[in-house]
Amino acid sequence: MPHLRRAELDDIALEAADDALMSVLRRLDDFRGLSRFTTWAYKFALYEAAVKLRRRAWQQREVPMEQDGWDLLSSMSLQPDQEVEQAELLATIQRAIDLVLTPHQRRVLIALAVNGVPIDVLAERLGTTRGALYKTLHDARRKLRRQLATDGYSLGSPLEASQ
Amino acid sequence: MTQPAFAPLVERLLGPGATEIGCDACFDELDRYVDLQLLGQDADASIPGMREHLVGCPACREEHESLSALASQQA
Repeated sequence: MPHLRRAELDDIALEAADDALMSVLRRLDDFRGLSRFTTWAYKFALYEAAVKLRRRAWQQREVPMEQDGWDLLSSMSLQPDQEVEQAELLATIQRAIDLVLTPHQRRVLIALAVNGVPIDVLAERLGTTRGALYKTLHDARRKLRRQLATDGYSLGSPLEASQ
Repeated sequence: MTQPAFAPLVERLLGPGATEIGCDACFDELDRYVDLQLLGQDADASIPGMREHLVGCPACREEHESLSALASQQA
């Protein structure tokens, strides 16, 4: 986070530590002893710090509009130096987004996947939670994959490459 | 806006394409998953859907990487 001053980082760290301590105390009864206590406790601190840093980094920034991401996808599929197969896949994905996604699914997918808005930032702006947004993203991706399969695309999983 | 690379963009749009857990379940299990990994045990078999979720969710993936780094110092 090079754009943050040292004092700001210290503030975020202190605030995150306070919030993490509250979370640990509130959820102490949930600790099942299936991991080390330190690992369990650290995850609250890291979560609080990560969410605060992401939100702080976007505090003064406008979340890009859905149209920006849509235009970016269109321009990529029309670029002359883009491989033909890649351009076709992008165009097919765009058609599928138009065809099968609800307006909310489309807005969430474009913001997270194309515009690169962190999920915690989008959750804050939309007044929802990371879990709820990810569910929307997951449902959108599933619908897109199903539509692409209908269109004749055989899509593997990125996990297959690493197995 | 800078153009993203093709393959990562498609991966972000289409996700892992496999059964995965959600962000809340990921948070609940993250400490156990990390400690199992550090012990050299089969964390993926113990917590099905976690690995797939970490592929699909950049925020949870980042927190997994941070917790792994921190917990490995305590090992």
